[in-house]
Amino acid sequence: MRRLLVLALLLTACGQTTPAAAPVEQKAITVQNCGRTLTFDQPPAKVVTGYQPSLETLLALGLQDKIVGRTAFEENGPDGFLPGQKAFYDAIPQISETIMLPQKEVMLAQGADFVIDNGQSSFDPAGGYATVDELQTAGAPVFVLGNWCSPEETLKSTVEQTFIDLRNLGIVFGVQDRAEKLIADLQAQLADVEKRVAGRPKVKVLATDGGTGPVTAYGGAGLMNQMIAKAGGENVLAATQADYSEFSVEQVAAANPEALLVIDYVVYDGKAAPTADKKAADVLGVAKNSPAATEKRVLPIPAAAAHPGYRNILAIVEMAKFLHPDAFV
Amino acid sequence: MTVAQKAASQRVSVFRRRSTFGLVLGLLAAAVVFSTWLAVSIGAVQVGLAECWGIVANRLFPGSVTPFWTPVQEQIVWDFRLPRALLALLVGAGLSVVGAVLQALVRNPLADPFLLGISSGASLGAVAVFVLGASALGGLSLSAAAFGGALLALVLVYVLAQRGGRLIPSRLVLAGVALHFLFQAIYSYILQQAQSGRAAQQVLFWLLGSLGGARWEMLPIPAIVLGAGVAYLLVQHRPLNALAAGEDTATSLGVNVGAFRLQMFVLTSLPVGVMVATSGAIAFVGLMVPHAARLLVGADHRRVLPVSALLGAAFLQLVDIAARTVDAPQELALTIVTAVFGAPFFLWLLRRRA
Repeated sequence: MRRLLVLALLLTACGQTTPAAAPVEQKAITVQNCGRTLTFDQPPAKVVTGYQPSLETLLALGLQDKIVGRTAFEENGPDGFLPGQKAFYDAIPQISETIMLPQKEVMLAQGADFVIDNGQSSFDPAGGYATVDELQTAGAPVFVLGNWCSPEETLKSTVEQTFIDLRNLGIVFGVQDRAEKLIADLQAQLADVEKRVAGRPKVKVLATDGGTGPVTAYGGAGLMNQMIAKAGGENVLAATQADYSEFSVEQVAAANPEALLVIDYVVYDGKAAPTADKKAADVLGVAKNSPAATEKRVLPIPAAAAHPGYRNILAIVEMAKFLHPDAFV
Repeated sequence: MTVAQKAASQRVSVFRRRSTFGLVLGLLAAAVVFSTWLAVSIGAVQVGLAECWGIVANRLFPGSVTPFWTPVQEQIVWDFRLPRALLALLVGAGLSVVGAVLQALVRNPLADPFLLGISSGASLGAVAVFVLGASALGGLSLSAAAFGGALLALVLVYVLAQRGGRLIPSRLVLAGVALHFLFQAIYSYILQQAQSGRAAQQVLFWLLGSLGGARWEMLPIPAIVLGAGVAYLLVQHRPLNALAAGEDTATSLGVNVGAFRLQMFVLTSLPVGVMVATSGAIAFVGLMVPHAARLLVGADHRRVLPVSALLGAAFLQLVDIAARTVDAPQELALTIVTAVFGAPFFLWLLRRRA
């Protein structure tokens, strides 16, 4: 989403690479995130959430009562929500008309004691947003999912970071048991996928966001590339040092993909964003000689699943079923 | 020698003699041919030279070569590279000739196809389709919306800059610049409001110019409009020279200045609309290539216009090759590359002249 763009333009880097859980002391709760130490005297109770996967992650930990404000999420309409989460979403006050956090003054007026988002673009002063420092000073430490602290760190983001994030959120909110249960469940799903696709030939996959020239697609660095690999696929653009970028039509045609993943973020009210079908048709027109085109083998992936949050692991399962249907009978 | 030509020849040039002009034309024509040969031969994916030109030969003369290449190689060379190379020539020549004409027309060395607000009008149309969706604009395609935006800008600039049906150069420039900023403000607002940052990234890429969408089926319109437009502009050297010497001189030489300005304004705007619609907003070429041409052959438009056309065509061809190979398989936007390659070349020419 916009965060990708703004991330690319962002000059500030956060420094450290791997945040890890700090030992819990008797009173103060501390965790590391994006090179900062977040300290809490007690679990936060006035939380503001950013782009949808950050809300989803807290809901999965049963923290809906702690959330006092959320951004808007219109992608893919009612189908865009994870099962059972629409009701919680509807019950939480909406403080922004977009997927971004509200502007600085509105944001600070929320009086939040914890802010969670994936990426940095909702904290970019150039966009009129409250910065991480300003929020911290105002008593609202910022938690960034997926270690998307800077453009460089976004390229190095891993699926395993999801578990580190969940564990840290468990510590912050004092719900370690729920966090560990969710982690165990997600890891079991990943292990199941790994077992099922093991030994099967890797399917050559192109993950795209459409275009007739150049084609927007996911390269060999970042989250999507790892999701493809874990689902038993092989990213045809794996050799490139890019996450989300513009690729030559020549390369896309020569890559000869066997299957296409299309990032889907149609906004429900009909405005904006071309449909996944349209984007797939465009890209298969470029790769017209590929098996993916002749078999029309396409899976739409919700954009929210391509961002840090536990949904990316659910998406890996869907991708594996799509790439290796025989492994799931 | 007319007054205008005398005035023109008073300006110093690197190559003044007729024979040198012929040499420059010959060299530039060779550069156009060579750069186009290169554009078809190399790309993000390596295709052997024999395959490349076997494919082209077999397409031009079916059956002349027994295919020894793969369908994907044929697709890359014939469907992607060749139309893109031809579009690069057309757009490069078009931007440069239009730039040269506009600089003479408004008597302003900083004039270029984008100064008059036309490119930002086109960009506004394109951004609206990208971000709001085709349905918001009655199902217009991106190209059609961009062209519509260019036409809208053209009409607005004309209405604002004319007085009693006569275009006034200073008003033309100021109205154009003001509209440019207005359009830029509107499309920046649309972009900032966009829910989807991915769309914004794609728009930004497009706004910086790209020939990546070139296909055979989209070539006819630019070929006809730019081909006819450039050909017509090329033979306007006489009134342009007269105008360069001053409005009074031009009038005394029998040029109806008001009518000529209006005619040139429309005839340069239409190609700009078509170019922005097909390849986005490519900066630098229209502004700098005419100056480079003047540094090479002097200020006489009889020489400046053809030299601009050839120089612009060869230059954009080389720039596009760089845009798609430097960071392959990722592509760079053209405006990033035009200045990186063009500015040092232009500064070298400038130093040489001094």
